Amino acid sequence: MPKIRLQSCDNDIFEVDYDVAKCSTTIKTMVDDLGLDDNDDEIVPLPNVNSAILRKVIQWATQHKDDPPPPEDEDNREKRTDDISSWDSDFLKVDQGTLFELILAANYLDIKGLLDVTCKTVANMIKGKTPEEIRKTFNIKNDFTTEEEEQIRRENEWCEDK
Amino acid sequence: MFNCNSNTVVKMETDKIVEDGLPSTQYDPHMTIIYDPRKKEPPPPASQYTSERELCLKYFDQWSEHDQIQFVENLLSRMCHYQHGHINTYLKPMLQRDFISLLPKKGLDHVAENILSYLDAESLGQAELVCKEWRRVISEGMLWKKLIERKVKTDALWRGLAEKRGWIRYLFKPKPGQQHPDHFSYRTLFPKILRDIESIENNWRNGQFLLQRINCRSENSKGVYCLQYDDNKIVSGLRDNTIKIWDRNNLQCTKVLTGHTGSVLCLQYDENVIISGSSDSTVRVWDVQTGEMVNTLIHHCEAVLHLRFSNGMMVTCSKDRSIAVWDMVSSTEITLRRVLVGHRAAVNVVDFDDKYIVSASGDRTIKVWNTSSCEFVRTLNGHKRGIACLQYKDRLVVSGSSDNTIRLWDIEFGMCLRILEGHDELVRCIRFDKKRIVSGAYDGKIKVWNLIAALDPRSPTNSLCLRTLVEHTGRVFRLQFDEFQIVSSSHDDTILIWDFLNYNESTAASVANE
Repeated sequence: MPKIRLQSCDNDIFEVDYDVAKCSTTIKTMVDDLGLDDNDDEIVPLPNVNSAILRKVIQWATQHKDDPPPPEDEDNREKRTDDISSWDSDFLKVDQGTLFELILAANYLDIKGLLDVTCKTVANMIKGKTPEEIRKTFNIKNDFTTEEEEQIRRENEWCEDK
Repeated sequence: MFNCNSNTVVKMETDKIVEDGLPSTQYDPHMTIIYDPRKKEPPPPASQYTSERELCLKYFDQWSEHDQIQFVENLLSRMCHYQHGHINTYLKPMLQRDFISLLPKKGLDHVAENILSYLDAESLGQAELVCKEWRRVISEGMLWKKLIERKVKTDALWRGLAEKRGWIRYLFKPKPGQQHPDHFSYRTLFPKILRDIESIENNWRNGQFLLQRINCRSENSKGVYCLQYDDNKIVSGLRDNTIKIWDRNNLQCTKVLTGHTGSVLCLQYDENVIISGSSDSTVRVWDVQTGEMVNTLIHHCEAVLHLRFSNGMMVTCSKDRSIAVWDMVSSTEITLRRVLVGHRAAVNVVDFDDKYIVSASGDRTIKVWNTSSCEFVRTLNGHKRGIACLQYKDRLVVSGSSDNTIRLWDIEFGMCLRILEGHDELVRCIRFDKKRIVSGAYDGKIKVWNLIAALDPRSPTNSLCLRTLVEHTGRVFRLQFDEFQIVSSSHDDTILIWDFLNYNESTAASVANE
């Protein structure tokens, strides 16, 4: 199986199967454009990803390398967040800083599956919470004045009497 | 990673370090140390601490990340519970991230919007109250508009309402030269839609509707056997051998199709053709635009009682006890593929999809056949008298019988899931969607049933019939319904449109005053 080498921003080098690396559209395009097939010395530099996160990303991609491509009519389906696999949900039991870095990496590397599941995980941290509980979860300061808050709350009344 | 230059780093107790190697006091992580004699010793002077700290930090900074972690772990294990609590409070916010505010700072507004697009209306409303930046992301991402659009794409009720109420023109891509309203309009539109849906549901529950009546004024033999409708027209098959097409705007008859020499018992149309079956034993094909008859299929030797067609295939059934499966290349090229025999009385109704053909008969049975091979699969037994009507979709079959009951069946296991009792005469027509079953009977009554509750074995039997609608004065022959209306036809020579969408208290009041 062809291997390719990825270099993190802190200069660690990871050798991975091409099948795993191509989960990342960014890497796949780079490799395809450069024609890195037989040239073993070529290294793909990833200046936006540090080695701790790259290690996690490779771990995720290895688990998901045989996943079928996402369905095309995805836009026409309901957006669910209760369909995260148990492997993914264990994999994403990390601190928010790591989760944030994973989102940035998934976006930069263009790994749709990883971006979706990380976004869903954050959405699940928001769902069903009051504004104060959300602020506590993410360490956010309430910067609304009392009047502003009262006005938005009035606009939101239909939500609460449901 | 630790920020080691911060002044708030917890004080290191240097006196403990020199004790290393000695048997230290037993450390129990579950026990809070209340009294530790060594703490009584006077601390070294402040100046000494400052210089020692600087020295430590200098060394620390030179170590590898891995060694730093080990060192700090080592330090932590030497501290007591209240100190751990203190550090925990210090550390926790360092690990938290305000995703929604931070992503746009990296130019990733679309990722923040993607996260929020997973929220339902209630959570989105709460998220708006978190802080100004969250509110900005929700507003600039037009997330209320997107939420409404997603609902319209995934929910038939929302879709239909968007079209009927006209607000679909504010969704998706605007027409060239037109502009969509601002975010706030969608935010206020959302609760209005919810209220609208609530009032429609109430109308169904309370049997509140606007009734439109089409009197067919048939000359000789009166009665409307079958119908199908869309937003613009109703196509009906009559006992007087004609097919009549009605304009839904003015309820006037726009076309009369003649050709059948017996009552029109069944019909179905699509964007190209109307296909009808008659007691003259023929199946006829008509151009839906012009009304011209384009084909006649002579096969059954008695009345054609029901037919369904889709995707180049048609199934017809007859009083002659047989079922015919047809291949349809075009309206003029329809060829017999197979005849299914097995029923021991008239086959009153058929339905099919890619997997199964389902038929029901006066012989009290429902038979299931394989669609591609046309082989017999199984018989569903249970009704105590002949079966008049049935619909099949996904795994569910719902049938109505001369034993006055409705039965729900799982087609894969062939078992009866539920019996609905309540009609006092033969159940002649039945339709279901995701939420409801609507049935019509020979006593002129139409009943609306709660399908979701009926599929739940725990629901008490008496809670399943939501409403009985009594307006027809003769047998109900056929009906079709959607989220907003029922259209039914009867032996009383009328077609009734039961409109649950446009009923409201004010229209009710004005009707009452008339």
